[in-house]
Amino acid sequence: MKLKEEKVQVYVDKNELPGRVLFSLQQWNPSILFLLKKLQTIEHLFAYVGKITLNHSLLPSPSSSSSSLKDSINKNDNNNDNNNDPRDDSEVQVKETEVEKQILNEQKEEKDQNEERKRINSKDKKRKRTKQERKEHSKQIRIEATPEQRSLGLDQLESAASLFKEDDWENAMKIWKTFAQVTKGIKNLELLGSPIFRITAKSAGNHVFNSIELGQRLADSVVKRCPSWRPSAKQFELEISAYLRFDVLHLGFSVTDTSVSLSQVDPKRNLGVTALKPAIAYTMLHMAKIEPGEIVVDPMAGCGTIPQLGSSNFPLAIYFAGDVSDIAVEKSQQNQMEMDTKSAQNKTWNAPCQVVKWNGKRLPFASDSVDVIATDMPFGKRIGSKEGNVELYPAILREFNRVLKPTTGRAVILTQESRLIFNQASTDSWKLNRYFTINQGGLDVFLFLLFKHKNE
Amino acid sequence: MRILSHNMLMCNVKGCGAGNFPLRLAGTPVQNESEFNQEFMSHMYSKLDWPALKQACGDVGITTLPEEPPANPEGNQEFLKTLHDIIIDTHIQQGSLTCNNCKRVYPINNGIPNMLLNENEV
Repeated sequence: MKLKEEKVQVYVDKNELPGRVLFSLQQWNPSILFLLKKLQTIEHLFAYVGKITLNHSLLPSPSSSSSSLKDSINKNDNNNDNNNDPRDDSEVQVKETEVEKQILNEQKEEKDQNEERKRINSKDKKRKRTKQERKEHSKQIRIEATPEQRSLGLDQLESAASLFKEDDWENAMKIWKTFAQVTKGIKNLELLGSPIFRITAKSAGNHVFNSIELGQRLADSVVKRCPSWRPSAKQFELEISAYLRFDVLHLGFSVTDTSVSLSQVDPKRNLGVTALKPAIAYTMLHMAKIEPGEIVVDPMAGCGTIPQLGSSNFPLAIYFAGDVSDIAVEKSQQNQMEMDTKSAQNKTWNAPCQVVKWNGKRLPFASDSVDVIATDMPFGKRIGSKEGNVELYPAILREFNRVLKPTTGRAVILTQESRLIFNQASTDSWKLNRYFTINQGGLDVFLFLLFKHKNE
Repeated sequence: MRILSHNMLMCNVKGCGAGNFPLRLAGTPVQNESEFNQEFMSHMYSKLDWPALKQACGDVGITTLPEEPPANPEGNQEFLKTLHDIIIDTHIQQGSLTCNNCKRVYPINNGIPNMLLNENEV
């Protein structure tokens, strides 16, 4: 069945909703769910109910007006404020301005300290905090909440679900119902109208409660809004995702059971030491804008994630997956043969991907012959070393430059060693097209797209 | 290793210059049938080095490759199907690639060519 083109509005805000994308469709129909399940770069899908702003009593602070400056608050001031008689407004006001002034001063001090720290770091002296220092540092910025603050905050959560608009709630339920009927096979109308639910709560920010309490109170508030619904941790039909980011609460109804991007690849793949998430590998290939007939090489393929994803999703090119390690090459070959066998059985096509054993510094390709290089380079943590990378990266990039075609040849590189890439990118032989950071397992990792400008 | 891959690999030993492509192929060809994709084959045709392909076929005893490509090869389905059978479906599981110039031998085991060079070759 061919669907006509629909306009989709996409909304991204890294500060408001990091790691998440909101999109809205003109009209909803069940087949759209099938389409969404084919997206390669997402993990989970939710029917977004909406967001509400709760008031500041969720976050501990010496006074309600300075919740945004909570990080640099001095502990002493906090104690003083709590002992004040709240009826004495004028004194509290004065205290507030004083506290604010102190906060501003401390912020300035912190800024200066940061500049100093930057200067020290730039001389390659990485000042690593010891575990003890880290614990003390986090104690400093974590403010203890009073019992009153806690009960105020928790009470707010009790009625949180009721604050969402009726229309938003109903629309999200409509989408969830499609998922429940079509994917989970729930036909019972009563069950659809009053599902058994579970809340998965995530929070960002320093709240007066922990995320377990958050989940429990939110579950209570959902029952308050929908009395016929029942919460259950184990046997549930509807999973409600709650994300409390500082004082904004986002709610969504889950419409996927498993990770979408992972469901597109063979679950029995033989994974390597630093196997890349398929979603990231797909993004890298997408960035490269692979054309039919192009030659795509991953000189450090590991277990072959990138070329394999290319082989099935960008199937009009030819791929080479190479590695210096015996184990990696064996795994790559096993994965590739599984894929080829499956394709032959299902009578589908996937692009040819050749597994080769080689050293990335010395590739068996003619100069100016390769179109795309897409690779996840060693970070120096689990593979290689930071010291080794200082020598390895220039050598590898020189070889990349040799084999790539001039002007159209491009390299998509994923690495944590951003400085080493910037060093190479700033030379005449490369043109840095774009780069951005992604959060990979808590690390700030860089994705680069470099074009070969000319031979070195 | 597919016959297609042979068409792109060369010898990169230090100092090995002219004559390092194409490599000489040795081994018993094995057929692994796969689905034919006309769009892929017509795009891939222009990337092929025809003399290298002829040499590889000669080296391992493949006789189905026509002497000359036909007029309008990208549109000729018969021709592309024959080509598909050779470059996509024919594999060398055990064998070797040898450089005509410096005589360096690269073994092929379990379909994987080992192009890793020694210390003194880089």
